[in-house]
Amino acid sequence: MNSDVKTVMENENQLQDTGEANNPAQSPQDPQSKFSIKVTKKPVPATPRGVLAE
Amino acid sequence: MTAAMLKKLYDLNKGHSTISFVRRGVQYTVEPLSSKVVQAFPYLQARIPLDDIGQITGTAVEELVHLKEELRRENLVEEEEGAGPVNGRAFYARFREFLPDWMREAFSAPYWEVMLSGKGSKQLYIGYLLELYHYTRNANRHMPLVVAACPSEWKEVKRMLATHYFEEWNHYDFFACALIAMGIPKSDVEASDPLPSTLEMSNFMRQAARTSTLCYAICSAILEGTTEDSGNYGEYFRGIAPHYGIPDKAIQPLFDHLALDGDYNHSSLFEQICEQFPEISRREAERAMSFGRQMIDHIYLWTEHIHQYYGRSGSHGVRRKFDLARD
Repeated sequence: MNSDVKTVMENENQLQDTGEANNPAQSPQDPQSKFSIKVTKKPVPATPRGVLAE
Repeated sequence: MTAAMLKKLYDLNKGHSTISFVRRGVQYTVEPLSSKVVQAFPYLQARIPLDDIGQITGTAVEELVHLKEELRRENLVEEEEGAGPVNGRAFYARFREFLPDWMREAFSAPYWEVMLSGKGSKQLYIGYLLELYHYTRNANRHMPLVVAACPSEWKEVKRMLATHYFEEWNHYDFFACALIAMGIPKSDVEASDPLPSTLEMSNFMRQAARTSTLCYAICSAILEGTTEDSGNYGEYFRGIAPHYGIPDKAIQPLFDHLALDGDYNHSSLFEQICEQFPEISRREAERAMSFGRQMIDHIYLWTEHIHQYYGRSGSHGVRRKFDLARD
């Protein structure tokens, strides 16, 4: 994986890909991409369900 | 240089070249970052101009600008909002955005993890049932109040709230059944006193009811919010039952309660109420959100109090009312 490409790694069940990885403006050849930052996302465990019903 | 204020992030952790945090039920990891940017990151949560952050932390502003843009793409930068009214549907949508983080905060009280890990006790489960019994019983203290306080011109909303009360007023019976199945005599349940924090929860609901319909409804929606996703109801209860010898008959009444609330569609009540308002003033929207946020703190403290009181060694469980002869 090229580190200059902004990549969003996601849980395939819960999160949608932003599609930004294919944005030509963010391509590895872009000389303006001076800093490369990767944002990784994953869901956190759900809170208990049904425990505080009125 | 304008300030970049990040939206509220939870569980912020700084690594050598990474930052991780949680927002809206998602854990984000941002990397690689220079050590100076890692140190500067928390400043982005305040409305401080990037130039100033750069000066304070010795970070190149160019790097901060780049980081800010990356975070903006993830919708993590707070944008300026107008001061005008908000549509009821939009208001509900904002509430739904906040809810996952709020719930995580409420459930970060140690009680839940202690129970799931097997380090809790049967007594802690009984305490939870007792206080839920009292809280639901105390619905009779605040639900009629919000019906009465709801402006007469909001007939449909008033009808919804009245129906909600009619459908909820005796749900404490479900908790009483579970307590009896745990071996607590019905007479002891009925003669018990709630913890001060349980009473305080219903007092807070009374305060919300007197303040405004939306302030009340958002707090109720937070509690009802835990009743969504019926497929996962069993996970917590079935997870703790084997640790403490909790019989099915002490859990089934809670499932019956959740099923009934589901039949009534109570988890969508707040959405239905919001839809009745084409416009909500900015002031009212912020006030209602503030009540919702406070409700989370109340839930945390309530749970903590249940944990502390019923977790004490020697606690016999039921808090008896004051008795002149005995006390």
